[in-house]
Amino acid sequence: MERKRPLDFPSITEVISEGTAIAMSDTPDATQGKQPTITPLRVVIALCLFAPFVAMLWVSSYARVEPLLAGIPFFYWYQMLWVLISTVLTMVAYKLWQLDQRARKGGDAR
Amino acid sequence: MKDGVNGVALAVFIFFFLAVTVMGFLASRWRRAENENSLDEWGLGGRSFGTWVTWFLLGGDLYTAYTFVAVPAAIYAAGAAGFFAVPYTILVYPLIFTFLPRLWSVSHKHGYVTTSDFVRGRFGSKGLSLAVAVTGILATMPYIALQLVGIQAVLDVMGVGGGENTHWFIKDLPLLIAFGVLAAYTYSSGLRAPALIAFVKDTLIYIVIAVAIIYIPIKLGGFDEIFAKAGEAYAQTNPATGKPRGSLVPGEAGQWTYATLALGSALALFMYPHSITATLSSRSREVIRRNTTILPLYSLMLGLLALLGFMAIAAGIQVKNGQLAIPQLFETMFPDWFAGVAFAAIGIGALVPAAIMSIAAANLFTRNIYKDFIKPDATPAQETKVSKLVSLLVKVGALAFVLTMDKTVAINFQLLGGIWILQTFPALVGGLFTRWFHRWALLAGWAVGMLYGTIAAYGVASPTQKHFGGSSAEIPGIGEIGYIGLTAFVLNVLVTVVLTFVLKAVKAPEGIDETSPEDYTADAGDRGVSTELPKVGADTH
Repeated sequence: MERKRPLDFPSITEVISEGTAIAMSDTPDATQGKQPTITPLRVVIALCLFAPFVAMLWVSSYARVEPLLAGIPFFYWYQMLWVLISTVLTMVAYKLWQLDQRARKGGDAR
Repeated sequence: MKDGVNGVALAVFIFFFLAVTVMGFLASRWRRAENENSLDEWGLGGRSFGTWVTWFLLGGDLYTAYTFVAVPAAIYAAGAAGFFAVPYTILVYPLIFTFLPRLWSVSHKHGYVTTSDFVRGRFGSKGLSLAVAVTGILATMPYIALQLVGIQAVLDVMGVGGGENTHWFIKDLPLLIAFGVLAAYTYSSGLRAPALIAFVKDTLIYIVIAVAIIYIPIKLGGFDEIFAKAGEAYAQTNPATGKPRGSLVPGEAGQWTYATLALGSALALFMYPHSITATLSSRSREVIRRNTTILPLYSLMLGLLALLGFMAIAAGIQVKNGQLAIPQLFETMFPDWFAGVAFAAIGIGALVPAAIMSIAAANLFTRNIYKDFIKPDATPAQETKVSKLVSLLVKVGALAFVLTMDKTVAINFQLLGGIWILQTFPALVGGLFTRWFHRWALLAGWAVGMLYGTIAAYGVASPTQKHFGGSSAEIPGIGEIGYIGLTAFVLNVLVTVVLTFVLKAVKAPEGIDETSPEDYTADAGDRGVSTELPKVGADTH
């Protein structure tokens, strides 16, 4: 993943939805100082949080009966599978976020 | 439906009901604080709940009895379209991961009890705060009423409540008792009561679902058989519409509706006052983020629960009122004693959210109407007193609603409530991240969203209803059928953005922002966020 400079912020917001871009700006603007707002780590966090939106809102990608799983149509088991996938993704985002915060708290006394 | 009262099931039901009643009253002693007479204590449980209590509380709060009854009922009636509840609850958690911790921090720092408190503090606008508060109360009332519908469904199937000819008082007596008891312990214990009862509720629900999802398919010959029968049933033409009853998979036309319903509902869920009350009662910012990773367990349960709708069809359950499909399925498939457990799960499942919702609505009234407009110098003790009384009034109102009006009225209002509450999103979530929006623009955007949403919902006809027949209508400019709430929300944001530019250009007064950027990331233990909460009131007026 390419390293983004803080100046790239507006363009990235257009690509990533409002909800996830927001996640990356969780530090007050005033403390940006030395550390960039957007780091590769934060991009990964944003992607983790954004992925379920793409998967679930793209209904035509899963609106079918085949293949069945234990007799349950694809439409249903696929969405239930996404409950698990999105849980894992949110957990990853949570762990990465903790890393990010620890790094920042160590960096400047906030 | 079996004739007469199902004695065994009723006995089990009453046993659990009595058990939670005792718990509800004892809850006031649980983690009791020195000063009970503050809204932080009564209305937010002392803001002291850790990860697991918060998990049970939020789960008990968001996945209500009505959900348990209505989601499978929707599947039973129309198939795939009803399953949108699953993607909806999937999307909620990544979404709240981004903004809820910020709300927690700023609320702790400034002692905010409601979302309207925050909006007033952030934008310095009592008008905008009032709009958010009124929307919250309006959206919550029918939601409480629907919890009663959930209890009624269970009582009906157990044979309690009598037939058509029974005197109304005898018929509604069980419901009156249930709500009287609920009102009493909410009054005395506040948020601690539902927090404690939520443990029982969720444990019962998980047991019932686990058993149902294994036991019923075995009895019905496996999922192949269940879905084959359901597929046949959906293919049959509905005489009222001349179209098939439903489908196993949403067709091309239904996909927009499905996606917009999921997204719109996900955006709306944490605008509801009761969701925020449960959130703010947690001990730290970390508790909330951690909860976004464990709450999806409830979504999995909801998905499994939804499958019960198919099982009801395969089991040949025939009910006129779709809401009865699942209770009836339990009664038919389970031995009596376990049916009683299942009914208790639904019944208690109604009590927890009803208690939290009435507390949330009462807090909104007290903080943002009573204190802001009627008695600005109210002491914390007076605030608590008013809140307790209002929580009673709200419940009586909901009861009157259900008993005097047709059930469809409550459902219509609930549908409208979802559309309405979504219109507070720009002020609340927008406000958490930026002060760019102008307060008057937000108010105008809210008004436009409310108006459009209400008119559009009024115009939706269904085979059984002339108005409020559903929550989806054509999206202007796109031509697809989508969730009205989301369309209204987009309109709301557009109006807000355009007017903000205009108002900034003419230099309209911005209002005073009492928050500062670091308030939004403060955590428990930081200076000013520890156990002592700053007194609000003095600095806000």
